[in-house]
Amino acid sequence: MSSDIHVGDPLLVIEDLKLEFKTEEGTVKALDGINITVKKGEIHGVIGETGCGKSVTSLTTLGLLDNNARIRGGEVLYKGVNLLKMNDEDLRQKIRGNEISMIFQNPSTSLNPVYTAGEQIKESVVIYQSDDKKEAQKLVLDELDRVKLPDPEDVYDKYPHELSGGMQQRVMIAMMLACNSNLLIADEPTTALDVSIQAQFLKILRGLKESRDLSILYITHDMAVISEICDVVTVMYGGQIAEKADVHELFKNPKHPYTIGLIHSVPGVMESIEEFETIPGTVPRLINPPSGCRFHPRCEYAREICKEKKPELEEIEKDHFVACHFWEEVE
Amino acid sequence: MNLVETENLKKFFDSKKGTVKAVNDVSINVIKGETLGVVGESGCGKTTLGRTILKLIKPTSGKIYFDGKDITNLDGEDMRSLRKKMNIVFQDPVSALNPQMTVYDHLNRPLVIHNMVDSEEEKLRRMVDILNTMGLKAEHLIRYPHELSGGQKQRVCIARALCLEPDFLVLDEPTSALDVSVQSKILKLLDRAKRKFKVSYMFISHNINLVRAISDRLGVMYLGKLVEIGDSTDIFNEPKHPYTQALFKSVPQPDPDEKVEAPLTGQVPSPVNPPEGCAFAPRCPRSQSVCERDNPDLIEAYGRKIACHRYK
Repeated sequence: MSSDIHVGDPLLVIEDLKLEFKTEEGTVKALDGINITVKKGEIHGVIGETGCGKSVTSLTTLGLLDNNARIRGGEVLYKGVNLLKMNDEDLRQKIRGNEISMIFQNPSTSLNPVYTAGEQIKESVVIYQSDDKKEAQKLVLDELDRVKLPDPEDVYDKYPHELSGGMQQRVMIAMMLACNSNLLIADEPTTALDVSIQAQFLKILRGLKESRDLSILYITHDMAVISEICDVVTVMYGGQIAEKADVHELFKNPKHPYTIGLIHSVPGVMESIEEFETIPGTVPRLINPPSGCRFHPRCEYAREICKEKKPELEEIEKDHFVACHFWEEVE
Repeated sequence: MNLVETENLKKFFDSKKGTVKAVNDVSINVIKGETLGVVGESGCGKTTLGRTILKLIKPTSGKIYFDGKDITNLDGEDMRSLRKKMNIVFQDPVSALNPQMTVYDHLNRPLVIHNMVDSEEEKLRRMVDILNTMGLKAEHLIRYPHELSGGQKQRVCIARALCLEPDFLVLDEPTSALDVSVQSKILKLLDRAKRKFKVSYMFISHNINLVRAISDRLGVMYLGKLVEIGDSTDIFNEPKHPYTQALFKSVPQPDPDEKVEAPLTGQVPSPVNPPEGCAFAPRCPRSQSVCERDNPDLIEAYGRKIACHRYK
C-alpha cells in the first residue's frame, strides 16, 4: 500500500456504491450510487436523517456489514486499494486500526467494562508502537494527555464506568491515536454529549487535523456541528446523494431543496417558531423507495420528470455538486 | 400571574456515596400562558425539577404552588383531580407508549379515568380533534405504536397529555430523539396547541438553540441551582451569569464562519458533595475568594434574576 499520500490527495474514494439489505419484508435499497472522496487532512461531513444511509456507508468501508447486506456495485478505494475485494483477515491486519479507526455514538458500548482505560489503550500501543512494557505505558499516558484528559495517570487506572461520556469518547480517540490511524470515521460521536463537552471534543478533533493531518469522515444529523468542524459536506437523502460542496458554499448557496429544508429546520438559523420551515412528509422507507428522485414526494419543486428520472449529480460550480432536475429554480 | 411556583424547593436522593442534591433550593415560577425554557447540562437537575413540580416524586422540602394553591402535601383524591390539570411528555416516545395498546386506548384511558366525556360520540369527537391539532388523522386511532414513525409516536404522546385539556405541561426533551425535520414540525404543533388550548409549558432541554426558539422566559440551571432566569430574548442577547455566558459560547451555530470556543473546561462536579459556596466557582473564570465561601442568592439585576456575587 503506497504511503506517499500528501495533504489534499484523495485518501478514501467511495465510488458509485450500491448496497441492499435482504429482510423479511423485502429488499431494502439502502445505498443507490454513493460517491464520497475524503482527502488527506480533510474533515468530510456526511449529513442526513435517520435511514439516509450515512452509517451504512461507513460500515461498508470497514467491512462491518451484517450478513444480510449485498453489495450491488461500486468500489471503496483506500489509498488506491479496493477494500470491498479484501478478505477479512487482511482487513483486520492491514486496515482496521492501523489505517482506519471508527468511533461510535455511545462510547460506553465500545469500551470493555472489565479493563481499565489505560490497559485498553495499551493493547493498541503494544500492537502498533512498542511492546516494551514501560515504554508502552508512557506512550499511553502521552496519548491521554494529547486528548486533553486532565490527570492522565488517574484516568489510566479508571474503569469505563468511572468515566463520564465525554471522557470515554476521548479515551476512544486516544486509542485511535495509539494506532496511528490515518482516517477516523466518527459516527455521531457527540450526540450523547453535553454542549460544553461537545465543544471541547470538537476542538480536540480540529487540533488533530492540524497537528497530524488526520482525515475524518464525520457522520451526523446536526447541521450546526457540520458547520463547526467540516471542510466539505455531503448531504444524503434516502440512500442517494443530494448535494455536495465546500462547507461555506453549502451554507451560503444551498441548491438542493432538501439541503435548504435541513438548514431551515435548524433552530439557531430561525429565532422564533413562526420562522421555522418544515419539510413536509417523512423519510421514505427504502423497501419501496420513491421512483426517480427519492425526495420528490416531499419536494415543492417536484414535477413529472422527478418521478421518472433519477437526477444525476451535476457540477454546477467548481466542487459544488447537486442532484436535482430544477436546481436553477430553487431559491 | 403565576400558574406554577416553587419556594426553596429541594429534592435530595440518598445514594451509597452520599446525598445527591439534585434540586437544591430552587424558587422558580411559570407565568400563565408562557413557555418557560429550562436549560443546563446533564445532571443539573432540570428533569428532577420538572418531575418534582408535578409531584411525580416527593420533594424533600420547600413548597409547590399551583394556581395559587399550596399542593406540596396534597394527596389522594385531591391530587388525582389535580392531575388532569398538569401533565408531562417524556423524551422517548417508544417507552412512553404501551406496545399492546392502540392510539385509541392511549387516549381513552385518561378520558375515562377523569370522567371527561359523557358519550362515546363525544369521546371520539374529542380524540379526533386533538389528533388533528397534532397533525394526525382519525385513522391513526386504530394504529399500534409500532405502526407509527418516531415523530408520530411523540405526537400521540403529546395528544395524550393534551386530551385532558391541562393548564400546565412539562415537556422533558420532547424532540431529542427525533430527526431535525421532524423536530421542527413538532415544535410548530406544540406552538399551535399552546394557543388553542391555552396551556403553559415548561420546556426542558439541553438543546439551547431549540429553547431559544420556543421560550418566552428562560431559566438556566447548574448543579441543582437556578443561576439565571428572565426574559428569554434578554438573556440570549446578553447573558450575565458567567455560567450562562460560557454555556452559550459552547453552542455550535449553523454558520461555518462562527466557531465555538470551549470555555467550560473540566466536568460538571458531582452533585454528591457539591462545592461549598457557589457551585460554579471551581470552573468559573471570574471566581473570587467570596465565591468559594458563600453561596450567592438569586437577586434582581438587569431586569432578571441572577445568582452571582459579581452582581451584588
